[in-house]
Amino acid sequence: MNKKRKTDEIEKLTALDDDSVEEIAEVCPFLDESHKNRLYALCEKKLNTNKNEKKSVLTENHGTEYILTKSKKKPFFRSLFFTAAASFALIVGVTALTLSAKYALHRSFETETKDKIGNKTLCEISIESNDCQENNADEISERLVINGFNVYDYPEYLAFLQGIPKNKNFYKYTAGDSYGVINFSLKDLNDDKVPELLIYNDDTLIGIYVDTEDSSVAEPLFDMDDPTILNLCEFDVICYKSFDEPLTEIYYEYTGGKELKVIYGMQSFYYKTFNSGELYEDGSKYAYYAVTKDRLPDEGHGWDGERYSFPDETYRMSESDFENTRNTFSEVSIDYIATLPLYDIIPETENVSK
Amino acid sequence: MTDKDWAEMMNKSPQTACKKLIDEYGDLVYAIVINKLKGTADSETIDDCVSDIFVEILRNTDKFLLSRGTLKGFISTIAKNTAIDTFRSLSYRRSVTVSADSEDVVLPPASDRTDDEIEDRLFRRHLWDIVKSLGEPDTTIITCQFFYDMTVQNIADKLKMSYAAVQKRSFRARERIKKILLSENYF
Repeated sequence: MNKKRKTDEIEKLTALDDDSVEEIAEVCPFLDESHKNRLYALCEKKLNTNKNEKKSVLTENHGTEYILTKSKKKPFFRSLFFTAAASFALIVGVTALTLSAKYALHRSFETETKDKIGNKTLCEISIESNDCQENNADEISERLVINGFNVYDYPEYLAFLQGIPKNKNFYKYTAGDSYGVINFSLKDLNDDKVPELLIYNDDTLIGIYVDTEDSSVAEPLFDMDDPTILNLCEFDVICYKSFDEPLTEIYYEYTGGKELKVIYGMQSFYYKTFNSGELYEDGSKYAYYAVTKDRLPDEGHGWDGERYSFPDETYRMSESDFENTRNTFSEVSIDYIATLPLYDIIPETENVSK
Repeated sequence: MTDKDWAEMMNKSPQTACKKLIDEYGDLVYAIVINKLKGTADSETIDDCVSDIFVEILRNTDKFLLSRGTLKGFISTIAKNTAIDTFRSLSYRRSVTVSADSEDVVLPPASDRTDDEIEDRLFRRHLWDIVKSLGEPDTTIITCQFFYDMTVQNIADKLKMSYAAVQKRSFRARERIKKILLSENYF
């Protein structure tokens, strides 16, 4: 036997095969009545929550779901409860109004995206806006939701990459120190005889490793830090992410051919603000941006709490100019990251002048 | 109740079906989820995952074709897939980079070590067979303690035994398991 095996073998009473699990459920049932009732209540709540409600919960309550149960307290407490609930609803309403104004553009973008997607193959697709908080780029994002399935939760479905080594073994990691060879297929997307896409369909897979020349050393096949990642999600949707600047995220539909069809894309540019006296004659502070489309992502974001608009089109600049300026003013801090649909940006980037 | 009855009920009255499904298959689903998420998720996440599974089952009743398998198989498949998805989701959120030089990192085996994996699976199966052979209440105690990760106190409450009795029985049961494994040259 393996020398690494632990002394207390009973610890291995896990990761059992299906038959054993079934037997355990029969021999030693876990749930008591109260636990079952709790589960039922949870299910009932989820069954009663339709997608619109989900969206409003996500947007208005910043991702936190509140469960309201019937109060058995006396009328005084009940009225107190209703007062609190009304106040809460008012606050939520105001927040929702603010957010809806902020995301007006994103909504139009959403409609446009839906139009592009059409009713073809991808079932029900919607794009939900996450919570938005000024100056916190991480929280300004959108989620592609397919039939209620959030692709962000499935980064590993995937596989991808350039130059997948041929004649290599790929292993699956199951549990403990168990590994096995996985079944996979390779796709040559551009017909250059080098596969770019590795697709697997193994429900036990939680990690992939490439067998290197030296069999004692393994390297991860994919890495979230790698600037080029393609994630194959369910429904043949592939997510490309680039963590280089500008942050890019594109969703493709993979139909089995050699081409990927863009169904949604966005690119994030760093918006920099700095003392514009060095740049603009009026001495005012302006947000600075590199995107080139007519549409602006937002009215603008303040400097030290001030609000002002982005400069008009005259001040827009190409991506290379933006990069140069960014390098020139390397000391300025990143103030805001905005997200725009990629297909609005790319075609016109080169034609735009300062 | 036949699978056909279940299918009809799930279509007509999802709420009623949900309650009955939890009564009938709740333990199986819970065991499947524990088997995948043990050590990764807390009890709330596990409950959440279990409820997701039942909701998923009810939302996919149309996919449940009687001719293609039993309801139990259908439920088990959804349970396994959902548990794996939850595991992936949790692992992704907690993903960390570990140096390959670290002693904790287990590297993939060479291709000639696939036998080890099979051996390990067989061992786990055998271990469960030994636990089953212990007899009650030892089987339940060991299962609750090492499969469901319950505390000794919770097991004592469940079995209506004293804390000390559970602890003692657990210790003796483990000694017996160890003896059996020793006699079979597992160490």
